[in-house]
Amino acid sequence: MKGFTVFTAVDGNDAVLKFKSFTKKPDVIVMDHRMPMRDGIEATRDILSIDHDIVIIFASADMEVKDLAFESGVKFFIKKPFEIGDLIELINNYVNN
Amino acid sequence: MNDNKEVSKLNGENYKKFFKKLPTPTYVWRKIEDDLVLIDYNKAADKIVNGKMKEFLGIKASEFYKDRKDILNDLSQCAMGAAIESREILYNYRTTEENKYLYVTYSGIEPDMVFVHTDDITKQKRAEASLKESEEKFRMISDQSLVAISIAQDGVIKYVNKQLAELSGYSTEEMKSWGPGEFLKIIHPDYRELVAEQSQKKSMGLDDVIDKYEFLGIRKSGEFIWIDNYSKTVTYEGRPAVLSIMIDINEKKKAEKKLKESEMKTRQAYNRAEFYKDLFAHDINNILQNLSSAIEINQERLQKLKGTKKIEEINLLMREQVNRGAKLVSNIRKLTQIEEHKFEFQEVEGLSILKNSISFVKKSFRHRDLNIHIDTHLEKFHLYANELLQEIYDNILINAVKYTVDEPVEIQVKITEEIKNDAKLFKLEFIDHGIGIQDNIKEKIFHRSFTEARSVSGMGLGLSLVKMIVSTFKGEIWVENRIENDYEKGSNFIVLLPEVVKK
Repeated sequence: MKGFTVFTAVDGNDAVLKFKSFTKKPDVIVMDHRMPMRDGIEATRDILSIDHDIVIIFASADMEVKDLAFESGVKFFIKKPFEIGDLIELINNYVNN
Repeated sequence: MNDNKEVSKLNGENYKKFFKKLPTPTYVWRKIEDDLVLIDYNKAADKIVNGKMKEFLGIKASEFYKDRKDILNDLSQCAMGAAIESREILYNYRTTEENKYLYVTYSGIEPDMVFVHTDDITKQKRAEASLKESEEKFRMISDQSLVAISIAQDGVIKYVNKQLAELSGYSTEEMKSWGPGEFLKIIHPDYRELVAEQSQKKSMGLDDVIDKYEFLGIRKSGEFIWIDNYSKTVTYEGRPAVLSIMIDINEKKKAEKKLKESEMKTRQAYNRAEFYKDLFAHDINNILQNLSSAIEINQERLQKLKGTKKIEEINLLMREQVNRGAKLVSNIRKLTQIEEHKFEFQEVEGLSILKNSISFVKKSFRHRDLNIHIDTHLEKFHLYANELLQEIYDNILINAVKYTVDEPVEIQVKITEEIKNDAKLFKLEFIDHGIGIQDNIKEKIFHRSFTEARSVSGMGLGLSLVKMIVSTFKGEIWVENRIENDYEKGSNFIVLLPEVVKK
């Protein structure tokens, strides 16, 4: 879609496991906040401990988690519900810059 | 032996001087037939009657003590050789009309004389009476007291009032019969060490003590009872003792326990409510996110097809509903957070936030032709606020767009300064050309519970949030007609916000 190859994970644990399994790491990870097994903050920290250069866009309806997300190492925060166009614009801006 | 019946003075100059100078008033009576006659006295006796004692020389005892049969009897008995015990008497000196307490001692001198010594113990007696009166007053107060009182010395109970007897279930006699340390039987084992230590320290008059503490007591029946204990070192019979005042706080403890349980239940209920609120908000937002993404994807596909204008209109409607749902969830969250005082205040620049808000609104209404312009001479203005300032702008601007039918949507934001009660305020006027607000509902639209007609539906929660935020900023908000007396020509939402005060 929109020229991106998208891989999905069903929960925080799956996200970390899939990340470990990739030979070519993704350019951007769009991380949800509240997920079963492991939440987005924990998954973010785990992934960044494997590769601290990964760009993570954190998505949540809860603005209170924004500061914690940035402290955990995410590069961008997008409030839910967002428009796909806004997400794509954010990803494109990062990729192009 | 000389049996001279005449009144005569003592022989022997030395004895006479000794006698005269005795500090205790002393009187010498000689037995003559069945009576006694005063034959001598010393200086101390004369001083009592202001030097008039010699008027009484030769007076008979039966006459002198005619009103005091007790003294007369003692004199007679002593004169006959009986040993008379010393006595305390209350005596009236007729000469001076004084009443004094005397300690009287009778000494029989053979063959026929009686020496009477009188020690004035009036002061002592008065002190004793005063002390007794004090003690009686104390007992009266103590026995009628609503609190339990005890005095203990060397670990033994010396005094206990009936309230303590009622409290403990033991009689006052039982408690006063206990040996050293036995009073600890009315203290629960968990508290005996504390009570024993405090009791000992206070008995020794030490400073490092606790004046007030609670302990669990045990009544004679075995029932436990919570007690508030106030105790201190006092002097009792010349030595340190422990005065304790005890109050039954069983009911108070039960109430405290209930309150704690109630607080815990309230906290648990609050935590549950918070959990469900968060869960609801999260899940609803996820549902809305899915809807929003689905609508977007559909929109894109529809744009590639022909004759889909109606479908696109419906899509737009669905998107607006998604946005409305998301806004509702966000507003509820913010309202509860404001009520819980979760937002902190700082100095913020109002104009840049307004510009951000206008960008956001334009983006939210990409399909509308919006013309929002700021009319002010100010380059900046500073307020004591927080991130919720944008909520004020967003809500008012979005309402203005939603309730303006004509295009382009014209909104003017006018910013000026005002002085009110010596304080500087910024006045923001959001002027639109919308459908307007009738006069009878201009106030009601800011109230949360207001759910009247179509013309204000959807405004309720947003504007009540705006009003709440403005209040936390110590500002004011109200709405007027754009054109005076003609509400149908649009509205003017006016917000007054105080300038930040530099410290």
